[in-house]
Amino acid sequence: MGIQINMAILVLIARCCVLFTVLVLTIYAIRHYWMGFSRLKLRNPKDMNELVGFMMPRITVMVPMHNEEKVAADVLQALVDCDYDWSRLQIIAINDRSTDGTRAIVDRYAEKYPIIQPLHRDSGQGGKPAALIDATQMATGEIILLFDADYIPGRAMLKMLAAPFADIEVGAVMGRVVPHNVGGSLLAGLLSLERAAGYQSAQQSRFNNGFTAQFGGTVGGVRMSALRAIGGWDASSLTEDTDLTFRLLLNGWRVAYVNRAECYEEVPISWLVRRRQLVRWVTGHTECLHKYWPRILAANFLSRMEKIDALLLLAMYLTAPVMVLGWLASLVLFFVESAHEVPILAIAMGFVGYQLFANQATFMEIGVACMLDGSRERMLLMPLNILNFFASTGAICNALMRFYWRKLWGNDGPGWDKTKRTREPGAGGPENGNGLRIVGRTSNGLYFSQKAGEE
Amino acid sequence: MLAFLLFSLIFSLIYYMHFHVAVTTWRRLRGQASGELDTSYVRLEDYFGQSFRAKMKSWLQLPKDPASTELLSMVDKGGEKIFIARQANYPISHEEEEMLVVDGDFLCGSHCSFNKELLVRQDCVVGPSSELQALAVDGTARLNPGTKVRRWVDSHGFLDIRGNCKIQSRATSRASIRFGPGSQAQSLFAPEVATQGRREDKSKWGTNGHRVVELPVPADDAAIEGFNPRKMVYMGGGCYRYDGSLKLDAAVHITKPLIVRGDFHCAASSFIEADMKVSGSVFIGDASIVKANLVSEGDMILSHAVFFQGILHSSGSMRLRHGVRGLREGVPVAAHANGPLLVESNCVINGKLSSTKFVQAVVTPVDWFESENSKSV
Amino acid sequence: MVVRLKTGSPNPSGDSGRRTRRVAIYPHRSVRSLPVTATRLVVALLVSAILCGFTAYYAIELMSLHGRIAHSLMGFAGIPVKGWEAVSVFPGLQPASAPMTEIPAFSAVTDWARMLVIAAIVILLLVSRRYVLTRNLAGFLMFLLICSAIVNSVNPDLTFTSQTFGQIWLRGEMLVWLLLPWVASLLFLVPQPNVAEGIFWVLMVQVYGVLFSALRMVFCLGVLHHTGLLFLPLIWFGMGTLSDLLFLLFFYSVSVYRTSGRVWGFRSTWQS
Repeated sequence: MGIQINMAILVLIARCCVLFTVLVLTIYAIRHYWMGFSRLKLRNPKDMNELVGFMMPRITVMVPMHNEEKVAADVLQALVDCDYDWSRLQIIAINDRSTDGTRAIVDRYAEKYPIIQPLHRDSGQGGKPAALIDATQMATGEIILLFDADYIPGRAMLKMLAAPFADIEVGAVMGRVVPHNVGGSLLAGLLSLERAAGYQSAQQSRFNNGFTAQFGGTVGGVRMSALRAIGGWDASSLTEDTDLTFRLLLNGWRVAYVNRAECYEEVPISWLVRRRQLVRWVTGHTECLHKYWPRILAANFLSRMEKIDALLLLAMYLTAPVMVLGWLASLVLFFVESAHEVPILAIAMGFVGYQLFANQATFMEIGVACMLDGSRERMLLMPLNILNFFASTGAICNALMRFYWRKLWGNDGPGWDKTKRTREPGAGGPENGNGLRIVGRTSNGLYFSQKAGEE
Repeated sequence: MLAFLLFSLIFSLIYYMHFHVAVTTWRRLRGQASGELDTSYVRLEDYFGQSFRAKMKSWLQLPKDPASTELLSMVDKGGEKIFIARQANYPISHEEEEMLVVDGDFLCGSHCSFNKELLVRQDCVVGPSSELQALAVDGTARLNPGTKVRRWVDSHGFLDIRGNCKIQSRATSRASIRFGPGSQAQSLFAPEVATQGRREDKSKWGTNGHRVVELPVPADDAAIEGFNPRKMVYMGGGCYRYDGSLKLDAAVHITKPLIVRGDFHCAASSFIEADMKVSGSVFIGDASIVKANLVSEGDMILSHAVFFQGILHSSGSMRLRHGVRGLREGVPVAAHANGPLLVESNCVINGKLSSTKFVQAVVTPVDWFESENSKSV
Repeated sequence: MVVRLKTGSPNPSGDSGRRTRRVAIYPHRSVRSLPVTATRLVVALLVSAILCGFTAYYAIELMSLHGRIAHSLMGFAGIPVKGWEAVSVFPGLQPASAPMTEIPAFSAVTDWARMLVIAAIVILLLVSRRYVLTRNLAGFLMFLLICSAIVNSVNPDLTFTSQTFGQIWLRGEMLVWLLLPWVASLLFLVPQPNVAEGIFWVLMVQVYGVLFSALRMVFCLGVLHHTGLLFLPLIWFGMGTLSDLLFLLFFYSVSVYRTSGRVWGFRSTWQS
């Protein structure tokens, strides 16, 4: 009798877990489907591309670097080659306690180009946010643009990122990151699909529908006055970009997304590096969720849909453990025969439905992005994305377990973890789509490029 | 058992086939780097014209056809012909299928059709109701009424777009553009873009003694109709937000950046000195000055003789009424609307007018009245 | 800018009678879109409703067909079938048939079957070491195997009939077949420029769903028949709706590959 009662309780708990999982994942599935379709049929994306070149505020470009000798020269050269008016441009190359040849490269560029100012940090708190705090004190621009060292901005990038600031409500902008080293490993290839979905589909559709885009901390920028108003960079945050997004939102500013401002980046090619990156993102995101959810709910100038969207965005990594919970609960239901005797049509429908409908939703966004990008070859890698899906789910669950464990016991969190660079120094910028490589500029500002191999 | 083993093998093969395409694709793509971005891209308003001229320059290096003469030569660029003429003077209803380069002046009659690009080294006059693919002119260009251009027009000299022309892409000039009534283009860019009926009258700007309300922080405590001080919120960074519509009968002086979560209407002789963002519609009263950037998510109307110096951006439609001026030192101004951008007569913009739909020069009763007046004078 | 997908109209302005070149200037990918018109959505909705209704109406016939295919495959696979028992899949629906085949309890399972579990764990370990990306999935499968081994060891007389398995299988798959038209329409029909091709994909996915389900079910029953309940959790997880997701992903990837090529052109590799 006792065993029967225990079984009944177990079945009840398992059903509740499955129901909860189904509910949460259905909400996210609807959100993903909506984002995918909304982007697919979007005829007039919200962009300020027509204003590129007409909005020319004073800008400060910051490039934080820690042991970036492999890539430092490329990013600095690319910034110098941008077509922004030098009288309104300041570049701060931040050498953050590097022990390799980064300092020498920064000094060399600073000596050659007057618009580049070096900032050598030999002490102080480590990590990107702390470096940005120091650099911001030197900044003279109305707008601060950020690029990580492994990025290679195109010539029009600075103008494209500056244009949305014509809208005073825009507190920050975010461009689109495009993985360059896609053939470096299967993981990199799969991550390029994920990035495509995240930017081409999700960011654009959310921005177009009046929700704030997410600032990613690189290939983006922030309005100096807005940054000061919200208290500057937060050195204690692991994801200062997400933190900034929500601090801006809660103070009345928006983040604009510029789909046209595309920039190459390097994605992790090994799973170990990717896992560390995920841990940082998950931890930072969840920290922001705990920090800001009450303020989001209380903000009377945000509409209900905006609040829901903001919370769903912050809670997105929680879907992984919810999904695992659903799997385990459904396994219990499967093996407890008494669960089968009672009609469980609703739960069964949900259980099966969420597996098919909900999990497919994220892949559908990838499909939409690939369809719009024309990335047909890459799309064929999709079945292998199941591996990435499981790998990420495990890593996220692991990261969340550690986060909540630390929250309970008050231990230190994961430190700042830099993504390892794979590009070789002196490789120069990547070739553009026409096989041309950036080589120089003429005195009248016209730009000449030559075909790779015509050295 | 053996049968089941065989079955399992076949089953595994079928199962693997779901991954096979992905695996072979990966093997093919491994080691490659992405080449999908054009890092040398720079946005140029007259890109199409420049790019076409650059390509044409290289094409004209190709050997000419043996049958070419001094007056007319031909280059075959592989599947396409380019005709080079010293001068061109086409009669009405002429139809041309190939690309054409004219070293001198170009003139064609009405109802002509040039189905490929046209490059004119000197001056160009296109007859009424003609149709062009695209046009690049090194001198001045005149498109007579009813001309249709399927793509772009670029002129180094003055570009005169007469009435009811239609340009489906950009119209650019290094000198100036006159935009005739009823004409449409997707965008116009020149040091000066003007509609018909241009007249200068600087005396219209000024407050004329009317009350001016200072916002977001009023200069005094007097009540302002249409303004609720409790809805004004300081966001920080010198920026304010008004949670509601702001429809004022008095002239307004916006001194600090302001976000209006509603509509914004201001009376004549207003002065908008700082950036504004309006989530609803915008109406700027007569003879106002908009010194900074003005962005709206709804429709935008700049009334008669408004002077703007920054960027205008509307997610809806935009209307620039009679006498609007757009001028800024150093950097050209720009006005862009996601909906139609209608421009009335006597508008002069030093910079760009563009729309996701179309920019159109419209005729209003004022124009008729003034033209009648001028006739009687 | 929106790409024009009407194949018979090369002139973007829609004017007829004037031939112009170079009208297929594809907009930059940041401003691309595909025409998801109201008509297209209505067609998708109709197709889904009809297919789903058809599946629901002929549910018994469909399950019977599924059973017949499974029966033939079981014969080919050498799995002895003692008969077919009527099982209740959903209340209100007529009972469907599930095959009766012996599934030994753990106590009756041969030693080699138990060794197979260890071998499977070792293989999963090796795979996860070699391919780092498979680590989590392999780990979870190992977890399921170990749990199953423990449960069976603790309760060696635990039984699970093939009829019950068949019942649960059909229950799950029936729901998949009912949901599939809706998901497939969203994925294959709505963004597809050619409506007929979109409908073809939807129908093909539905038919393939039934066939693939029969194949998987027979494989699962074969494994259970030869090894008992040791692999039950693993095959339920791996061969269940996860496999439905897999084949849907496969077809979706091919569909997007074709659509993208047709709409935006066929370009070289990483530019695509």
